Amino acid sequence: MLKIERVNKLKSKIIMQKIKLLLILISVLTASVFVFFTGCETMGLENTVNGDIKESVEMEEYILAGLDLQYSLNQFKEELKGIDMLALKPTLDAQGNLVITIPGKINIEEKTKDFNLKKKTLLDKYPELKRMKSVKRFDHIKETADNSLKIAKALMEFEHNNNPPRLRSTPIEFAFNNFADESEAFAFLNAQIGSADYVEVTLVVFENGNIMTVISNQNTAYDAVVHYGRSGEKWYLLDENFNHVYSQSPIAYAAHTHRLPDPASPKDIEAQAAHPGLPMYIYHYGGLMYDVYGNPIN
Amino acid sequence: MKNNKKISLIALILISFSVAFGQTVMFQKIIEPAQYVGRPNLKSKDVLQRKFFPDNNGIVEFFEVPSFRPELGFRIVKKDDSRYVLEIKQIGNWQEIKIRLDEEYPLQIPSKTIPKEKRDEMNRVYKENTQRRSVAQREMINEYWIVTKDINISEAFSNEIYNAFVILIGNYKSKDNDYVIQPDGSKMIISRVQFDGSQMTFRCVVENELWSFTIGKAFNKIDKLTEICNEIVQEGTRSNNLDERKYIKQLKELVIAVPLKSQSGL
Repeated sequence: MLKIERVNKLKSKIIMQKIKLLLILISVLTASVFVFFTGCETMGLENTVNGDIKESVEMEEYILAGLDLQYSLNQFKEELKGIDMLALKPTLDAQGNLVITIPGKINIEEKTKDFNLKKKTLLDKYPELKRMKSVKRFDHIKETADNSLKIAKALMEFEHNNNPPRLRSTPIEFAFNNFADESEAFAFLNAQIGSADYVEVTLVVFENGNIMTVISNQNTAYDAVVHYGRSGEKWYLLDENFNHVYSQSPIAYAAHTHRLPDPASPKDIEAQAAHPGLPMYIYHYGGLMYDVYGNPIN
Repeated sequence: MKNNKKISLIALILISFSVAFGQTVMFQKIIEPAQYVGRPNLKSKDVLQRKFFPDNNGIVEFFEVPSFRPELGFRIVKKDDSRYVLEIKQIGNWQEIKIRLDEEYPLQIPSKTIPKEKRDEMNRVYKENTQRRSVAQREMINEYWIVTKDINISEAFSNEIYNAFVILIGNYKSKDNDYVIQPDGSKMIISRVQFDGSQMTFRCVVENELWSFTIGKAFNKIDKLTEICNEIVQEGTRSNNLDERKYIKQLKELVIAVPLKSQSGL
């Protein structure tokens, strides 16, 4: 019994080590993609580039392979989350090595090989790229990317795959936060806008001076949900069961965040039209607010 | 749109469930002839929808307009050789057109640290560009080109999607109150507000009728249907095979099991 436990412990240890190795591999690959995009600094040699690099098929293929690898790594990371690592069993391969096969659809090895091959082809044809300053090289990559329909399509596909519309259909729940004043609330909103797991946040300022933010479990980086109630001409903030939240003071104004300078969406304009007497603003980083028609709010 | 679904499906709608959806959101349901004077009736489709679906040959159509991201959709068609094909559709040059809009009508928000005069000028340009951009965006729809990816699917899967569309559209009712009674006996009008987000159109043909249902976030089973449709588009975009069994199971559960009223939040 003890022996079995030891073997299991050993297996777990091996698995954890493999996972660590795998994570290192992922980090290295991610870093290589990062390096691919930012370029690595070389000593101050002047750029003597053939004008056709930016329009070359090799550069286009190189960028596409880089995008594909980057996207695959993201996919792979997602796949790893769904795998019960402790349930994986090590097996012996033909050479007698203990190996663990991770189930998954993405073949990172192939994608990496392809990326390196495209890189070699590009550098073989344009060796001057090796000596080029990183800023200049990045400009070339950016210009090629901006002018290539193929890359635009791939970007769209990857962007879509990484950020597809994905409505959440679970029952709604709200999280409310209180703030002492606007500047404290703005600091919170700015931090949310800057965070990696950003979702839209609604700011509610009450007539009695109370300030709250609302985040529902269904909010995403591209939408927000909130419950309001109208009694007479006044609007109130309600919870998921349509009960008053905290203070029963009417709302003075509400605003929801947009991470980019995007103006109000058609849905925002619709929402404002359906709630006369309730000013609804768009909040941008730095405490800048606009109404749905694009007028700045002071 | 050619459709040979039987009357029994209509009966299924009538007997499947009679519980009304909770309703405080805006929606539009249109029932109209699928064909009119020998031609497909496209009256309920706007310019972009006609680009995506220029006829009514789909058994079902799903079309989504998300805020800040490209429109997308799919339809299912039965081919002459009896194959069922899922056509996933996206805008091929959305990014390119967005870049053009960004260049022509840049949206720059002035920081509070900029001197007032300069800031006022930048705000004026921001508002002007917002309006001009909105007009240009509508005009540029004509320049969109639609990319279609075909995936063969089984008849069973096609039928399950069709059933879900017909049943959920057919049963969608706006019966519930849009108010709650307060402890003091007064009425409070309630509003579920969705900022940004998507607008969906679900379409299907029932006998000779074209059913179109347009809604944003619905707070009920329609949201689950949207979620399934989103997953189908996502999986279909990255792979050539769909996990049909998973979707069939979800679609079956969607139309028969959960009492709808409990999902409405009312």
